[in-house]
Amino acid sequence: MSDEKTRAGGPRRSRLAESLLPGGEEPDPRFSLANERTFLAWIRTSLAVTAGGLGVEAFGATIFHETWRKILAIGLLTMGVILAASAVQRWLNVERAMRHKEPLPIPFLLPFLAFTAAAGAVVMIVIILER
Amino acid sequence: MLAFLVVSSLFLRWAGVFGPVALIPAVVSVAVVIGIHATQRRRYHQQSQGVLLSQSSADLPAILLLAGAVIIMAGMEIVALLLS
Repeated sequence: MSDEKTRAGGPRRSRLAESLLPGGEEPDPRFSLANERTFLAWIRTSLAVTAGGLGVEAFGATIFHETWRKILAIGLLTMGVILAASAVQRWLNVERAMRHKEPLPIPFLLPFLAFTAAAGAVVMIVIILER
Repeated sequence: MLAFLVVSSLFLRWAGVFGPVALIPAVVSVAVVIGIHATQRRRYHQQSQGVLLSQSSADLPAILLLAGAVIIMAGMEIVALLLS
């Protein structure tokens, strides 16, 4: 009971937090930390995809035609941006849902990542077969 | 932190094309990494106290700063790629 009271009162919130995460009450800190860990995992994925894009551009000269190399690199870098932006959006959505004790939102990132990874693999197979 | 540093260091690949300007993203990224490292102990203490007392709020500025840095870095790499 005292736990609930402490959580409802909660620590003082900044104006930024008030505007982006309005209303509700502070969720269990363990859930917030789990949400943050998931966010960090998506950021790592985004960084890996970004590094992949740079890797294709920097070291793919012997494998890809220049135009294909640029398209692939820009595609991967764009995907890195989308993943990082979606990670923030997802973090905010989950945090809001937890504050209002609502069901967690369905992740948009998973099907997006799965589809683009599959599409990338198919493109790679085509490029390798054409060489 | 290390992943962020490594990815931003890859930007040095364009040092030959853009000159010293290519160093800016790497230097900015190093500053962000130093900021993360410097506040690590305080944030860990804050979060562990939060779990102990069941009283903690989400670290919104840290989330926004990290995501913003990654997005800006990847965006600059796209621009560099298009201009090179």
